[in-house]
Amino acid sequence: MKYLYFLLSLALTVTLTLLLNVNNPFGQEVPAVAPLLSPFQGFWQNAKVEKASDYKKLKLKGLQEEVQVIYDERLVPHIFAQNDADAYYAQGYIYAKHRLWQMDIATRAAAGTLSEVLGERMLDYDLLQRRRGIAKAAERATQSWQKAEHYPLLQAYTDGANAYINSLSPKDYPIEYKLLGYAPEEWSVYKTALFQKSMALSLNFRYHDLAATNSLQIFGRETFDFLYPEYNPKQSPVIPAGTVWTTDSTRVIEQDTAANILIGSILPYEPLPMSERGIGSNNWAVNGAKTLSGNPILCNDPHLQLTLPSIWYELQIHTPAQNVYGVALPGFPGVIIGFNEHIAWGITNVGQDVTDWYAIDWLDEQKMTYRFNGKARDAEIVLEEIKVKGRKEAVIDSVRYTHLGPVVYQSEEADYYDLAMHWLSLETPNPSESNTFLALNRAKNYEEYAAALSQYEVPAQNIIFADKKGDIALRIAGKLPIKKEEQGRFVLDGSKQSNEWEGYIPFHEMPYSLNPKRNFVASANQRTTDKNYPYYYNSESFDNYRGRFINRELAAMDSIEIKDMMDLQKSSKSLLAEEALPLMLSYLDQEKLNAVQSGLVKILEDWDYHFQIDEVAPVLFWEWYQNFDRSLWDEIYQYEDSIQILKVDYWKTLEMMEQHALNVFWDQPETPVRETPNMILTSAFEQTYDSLQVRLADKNYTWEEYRGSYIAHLSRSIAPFGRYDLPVDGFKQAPNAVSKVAGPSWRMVVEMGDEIEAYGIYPGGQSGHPGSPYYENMVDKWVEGEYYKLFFMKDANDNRQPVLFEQRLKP
Amino acid sequence: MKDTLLQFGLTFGLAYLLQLFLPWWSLVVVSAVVALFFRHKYAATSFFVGLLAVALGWFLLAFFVSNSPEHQVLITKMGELFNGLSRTSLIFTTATIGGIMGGLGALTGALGRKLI
Repeated sequence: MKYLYFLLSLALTVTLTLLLNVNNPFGQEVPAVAPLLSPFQGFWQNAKVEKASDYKKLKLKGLQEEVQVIYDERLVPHIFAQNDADAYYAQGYIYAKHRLWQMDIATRAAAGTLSEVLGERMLDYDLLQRRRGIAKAAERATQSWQKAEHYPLLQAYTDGANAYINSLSPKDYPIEYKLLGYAPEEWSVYKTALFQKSMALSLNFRYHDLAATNSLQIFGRETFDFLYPEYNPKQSPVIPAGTVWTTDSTRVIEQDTAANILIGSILPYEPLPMSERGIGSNNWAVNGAKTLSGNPILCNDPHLQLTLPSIWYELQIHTPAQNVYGVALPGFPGVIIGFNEHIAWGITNVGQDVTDWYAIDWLDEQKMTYRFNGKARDAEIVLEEIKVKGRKEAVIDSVRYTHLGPVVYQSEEADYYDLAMHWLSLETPNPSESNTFLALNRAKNYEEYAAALSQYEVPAQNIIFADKKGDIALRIAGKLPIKKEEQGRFVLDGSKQSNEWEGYIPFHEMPYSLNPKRNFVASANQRTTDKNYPYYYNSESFDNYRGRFINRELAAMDSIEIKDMMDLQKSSKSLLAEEALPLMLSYLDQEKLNAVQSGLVKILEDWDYHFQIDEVAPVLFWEWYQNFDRSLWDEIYQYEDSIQILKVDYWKTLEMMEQHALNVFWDQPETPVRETPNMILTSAFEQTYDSLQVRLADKNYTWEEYRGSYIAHLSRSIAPFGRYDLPVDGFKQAPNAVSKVAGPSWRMVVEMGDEIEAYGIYPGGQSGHPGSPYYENMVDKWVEGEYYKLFFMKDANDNRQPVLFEQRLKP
Repeated sequence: MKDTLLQFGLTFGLAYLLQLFLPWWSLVVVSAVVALFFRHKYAATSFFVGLLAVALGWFLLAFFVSNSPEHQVLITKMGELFNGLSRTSLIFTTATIGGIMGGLGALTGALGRKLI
């Protein structure tokens, strides 16, 4: 009996100990309970907040000389080092200290290794990343970077990050590791390359080739050209229209484009995840002729999906070779957007289509060889091993690579084509690519800025520039393919070499603008140039409103002060609404409306096109616009649930009201009558009233409730680590492009006077630790539209602003 | 009684010390090993001694690492994650789980002692 009691007790104790020590003990998504709850190692240890003792003197192996780090009131580190390698070592160390889990999860997401730590639910996502070949591309980039002269600087950053990671014991792990039940791993330059690929995914992986091919087949060439013209006559391109192009190249126009486009069956494939349209950015610089002080002012607000921790991290780096301030990205040494003692720069996405699709003509059942230039060519088969938490054996997926790229779309049915993807960001970069921002951080003038940009590859950016001497400029930077007319707009025949990119546009032929007559440079993701630029490029997602609005405002402004620039960044006025609403109202049959509906019309007529949270007019407009769009383009929307189909751009929809009132698309084929614009817009208005009636009965129902806005934690699953219901103005088609989940991820205004005056803010905080007072401390001020005056320290003894901590890192 | 107090003190002290360096389950081993050295009329006595000794350690540390207003930022968020538990409930849940494991360890030790 004694033995039985003992054994029972022993069994119970051991079983419970094991159950409390493993993740997902009953197959559910719960972390191991005891390690999480234990006050010795669990979440209690993360309740600590920053104090001076966390920033005490440290000995770090790998430093050459002592580094001094001064943390200002917002925990922004100001790094004072004797050489650049030490500065980047310190940056890596501090970055990991503040943002380790962010660095980790972002690179796992890029590589497709999330299932290893998050389990089965991420398997499909990982499979997709493997099919897209992201990790392979990062490996090739790393190998190339290793040949660069500046490679030791990338390694120094990595060493610094690892010095921090290796100093951790389990109780010090960031809270996310404890909640998700895994441990940090070392950083590497390869992971830096992975992060770069993840930026490329969100910025230059937007394609519409399949949708366009389907649309072309459904509607025919003539209607396709009517619905989806590439050039908006009202567009105000990044490089001013009328610029004369001095180039020895001429655009190649293939006589028979159609012969190379895949025509036959409608492509049934689902779209791959792409960042939503309207995630863009603004940047501009005005020169002294337009400012009150006579100094140039440069502004930038990149719009990205908003998360906590924020994608950006502020810092200053001071060495004998440079003194630079701005925001950095995880894994990258140096500053990505910012200014130094001589120049300031900012970026927006170029957004040209660099993801092209090719139909593969397999020659055998096993899909081992395909036809190319009339001959058989072997595909390479790569086995991808995906570890899945909770599974004993890894999942193996085989990915076929053609010379064009990975076969991402595969069909089991023989009558559909497999499609290979040629995505620019998968190509092996030049070694010096990773030096772009390091060189830009040290640049002193326009020539050095241009030289830095000549090394840049992906994702292509509009990089603006202003310096103390008074120059302003904007250059398109990045590798961009030379395409024939319409090449890559549709899915192409992969068996012909003539369908491939011929090469890349040489740097000296890339569009740029230096000290233009209009006294400002600006970009907002709109088309790069006017029609006369000799090289063809395409995109179905160029902006048509923010860029035009900003150009119009800047052209009209004079005696500009910093505050005017902030107001423009924060403007929630939309040119789309300004142009669309009067047209929509002109077709509204007001006699048909009841008293309440007429009241709503009055609200719209009085509206100034600002998307402000406390107004109801934006709700009415946007709901009405969308109802109208769906009923006008019902011929297109009928396909949207079954296949990829191209939507008609806003500007074309407006043009329908302005110029094509008799067009056949106004008609709804399923009704016996022939609809007119009056009928469509009036019924869309009534529909709007019907759908909003109940909600509008509440007088507090405004744009704030309708659009909503939040900043989720990067895990998207740990709700208490996010911020919700943010009362912030904005609309995706206004300069202040706040949508439900995206918006200005960093706002910066810099005046290039003798003494630089700079302001900035991002919706987050320097620390990535949810228990830190610096985790989300800037969110409320960002919501209110405020800026912080940036403390650009002259030297380590600069005391114009108060500081929190001072830390010495010793070799 | 003196034995009971001694066992309590030893379990508390050793478990607390070892957990500073070792994973949480070291407390189970400590409670069991300490219980091996004490003979009680009822093995249940050891269970309660182990439970209280470990629970006290977990209670004290959880209490003190979360005891200033600035610590509430994370504690509040963790509470929300656990269906809206307050700090007090979190501390008691924590102490209870640690305590039960300490108690079970001690019970196993005490029952083992009876075999000798």
